Amino acid sequence: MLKKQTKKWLLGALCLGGVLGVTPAQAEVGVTNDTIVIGSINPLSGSPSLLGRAHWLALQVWIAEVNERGGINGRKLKLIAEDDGYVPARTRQMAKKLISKDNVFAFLGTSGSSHLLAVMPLLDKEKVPVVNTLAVNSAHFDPPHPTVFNIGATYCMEMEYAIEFAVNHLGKKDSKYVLIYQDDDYGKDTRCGYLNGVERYGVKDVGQFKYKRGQKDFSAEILKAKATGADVLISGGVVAEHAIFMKEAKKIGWDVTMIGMHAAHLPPVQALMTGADNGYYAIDYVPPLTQTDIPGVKRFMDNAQKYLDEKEYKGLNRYSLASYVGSLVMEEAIQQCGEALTRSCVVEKLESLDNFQVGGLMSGVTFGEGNRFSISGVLAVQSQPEEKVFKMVTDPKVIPVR
Amino acid sequence: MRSGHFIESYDKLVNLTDNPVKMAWSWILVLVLALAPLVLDSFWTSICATVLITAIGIIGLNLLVGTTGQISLGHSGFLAVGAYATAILTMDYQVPGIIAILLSGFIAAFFGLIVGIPSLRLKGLYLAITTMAFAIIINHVILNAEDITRGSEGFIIDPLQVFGFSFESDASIYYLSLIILVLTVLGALNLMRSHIGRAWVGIRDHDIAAKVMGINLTTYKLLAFMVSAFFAGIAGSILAFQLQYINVDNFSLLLGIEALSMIIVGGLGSISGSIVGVIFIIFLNELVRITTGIFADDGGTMSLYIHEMKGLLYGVVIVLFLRFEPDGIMGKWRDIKNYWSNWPFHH
Repeated sequence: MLKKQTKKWLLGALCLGGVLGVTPAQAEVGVTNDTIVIGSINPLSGSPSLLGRAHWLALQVWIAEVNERGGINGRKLKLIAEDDGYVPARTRQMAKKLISKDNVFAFLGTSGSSHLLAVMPLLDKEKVPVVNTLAVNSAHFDPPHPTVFNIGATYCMEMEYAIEFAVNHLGKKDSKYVLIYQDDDYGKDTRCGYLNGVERYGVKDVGQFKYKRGQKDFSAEILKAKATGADVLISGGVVAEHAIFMKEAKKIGWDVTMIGMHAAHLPPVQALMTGADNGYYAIDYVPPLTQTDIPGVKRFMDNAQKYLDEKEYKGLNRYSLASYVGSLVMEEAIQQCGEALTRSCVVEKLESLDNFQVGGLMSGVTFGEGNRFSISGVLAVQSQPEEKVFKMVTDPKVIPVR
Repeated sequence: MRSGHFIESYDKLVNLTDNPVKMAWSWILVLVLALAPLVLDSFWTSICATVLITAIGIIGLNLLVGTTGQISLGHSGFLAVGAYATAILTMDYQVPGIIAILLSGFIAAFFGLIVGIPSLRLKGLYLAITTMAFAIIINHVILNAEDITRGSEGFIIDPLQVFGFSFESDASIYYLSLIILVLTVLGALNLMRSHIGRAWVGIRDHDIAAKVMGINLTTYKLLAFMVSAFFAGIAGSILAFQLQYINVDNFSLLLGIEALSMIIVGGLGSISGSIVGVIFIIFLNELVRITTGIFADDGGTMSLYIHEMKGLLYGVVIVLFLRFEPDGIMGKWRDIKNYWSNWPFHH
């Protein structure tokens, strides 16, 4: 009788243990003996799909490359990507789906800047490792979120370098500078860099003009900018705005040197500017895709040629390289964890990365306790309208957080 | 043999329904909805919560557009007002969440009053443009009043707390939305049966005739805008608690147009039509996502552009719907009901 009761208790305890999930060999979410599931949320529809598609294509290249090598520690990778249409509410819904339904192990990409902020409470709660290289905003790492790792440069850094580049490389110390920026946090970050640069290099700021988000006609802003007598335009456009600024400038006969942030380093911007492109500059934290003398670029482009078809290959742009860097960093952390792969191990390994080299695609990646932002050096590229390519004109330089 | 449905007394007329079968089915539906989170996973519970929240706002819009005949393309603005009011009240002024939900409704209603004033002189397209302008103004205010709204950076909102219970899980938000939706449906149905609802219908059918009959157009039109905005504000408030992060990108103008498509697909002037329209549009979106996902996963060239097809498919279904069933799903349901009620004399 006593034996029977003891058996019942044991059985009950085992069932309870099973229900509560306290079995000793509990598997990590999104990891099996032979696969690791990676999630990604990108704007794959609408106008921002230019970014999202390029990011997603690079992930496809990385996954094909890793799986052909036999996976990481014997585990092949599986990518589940969702489109959020660049709407934060949708990003959150898709993150929920990927976490609770698809059981992804980690994220590579969570769409844009505000989109990552929208999923931050969820990521904090579920402790999912994330490597973000698509849009870096100070709110992503200050204060630091334990599982969210950011790599790149802020717009503030890029724009500060724009002034340094104009002064030191283009010899425009005595030129007059004008800024056109958007009326939101992106614009604020752009202006931050402009003001830092003006103060640091003592150049003459002759005007700062704000435009409204979604604005399509910039004739008034360009007329006012020309009237200041400026000969260097620091462009705070998002994507198409850079091209519209230059077209307007050409229309009114304003011969100006334009320097924009990294989105100006996109083939569609260059194409839109046809006829008005006087060899404008863009500041970026990844080199042009054509710079195959850089080992990382060569490796990526060779693999892209191997794994993508012609149409997909044409969809690559600078966001692909940024995405590839994120993938390499994630791969390194997973690799270091070995057989016993857990989310907390990946977070620990990411945190311990110290000057991890990514083949010259960006500066060495370094995180640390409480440091969730690896600053990458910024460089200048110049548009070559004849060849329809961009040429790297300076080596990367790290601009510190000010 | 039954030859039609006749209401023979005033009591029956003001009853929510004189049909016990309909009442029983309604309660069964509420019971099924109450049990849904027990069988659904977190993602689908969250989608269903979105359906419930959207339905609250859409019922409000249908009272304005379908019942009163006043078009509005600016409901995304009222939704934004409700969401931001909740964020500001709870995060900056530590107002208890449940009070903030109610206050957000009243604040949106106040904005509804302001937007409603031009409706006294404007009709049709002109009113549509005016309401759309309101949504644009709200977006610009959110972007530029950074000290209050955090600008484009957006607002992180703590989960709703009621007597120490945190509405953090999807199921808890689902139940909160369900309770508020049931109250909204009861409130809207009763409003439509009161003199207010009849006055609104009078204004919709012929405002001059309604005025001749003694209906005060100013009062009732403004009331319609306020009630409609109130519901949208409440929906915005719960949305803020659901998302726990809001910024201006969540309240685009397209949202207002999507809301109109929901009431047209469901059925203008019908409360059940509003809910059916929301279910149809949100689940159509999910269906298209799942369908396109099948092609997206194959890794071929098609997967590159398949997501662009989503918007196209979505639009085509709505256009076909409007072309072949302009009275909405509830219109079709009424036809089927009439056919069988009057069979074999239906014509």
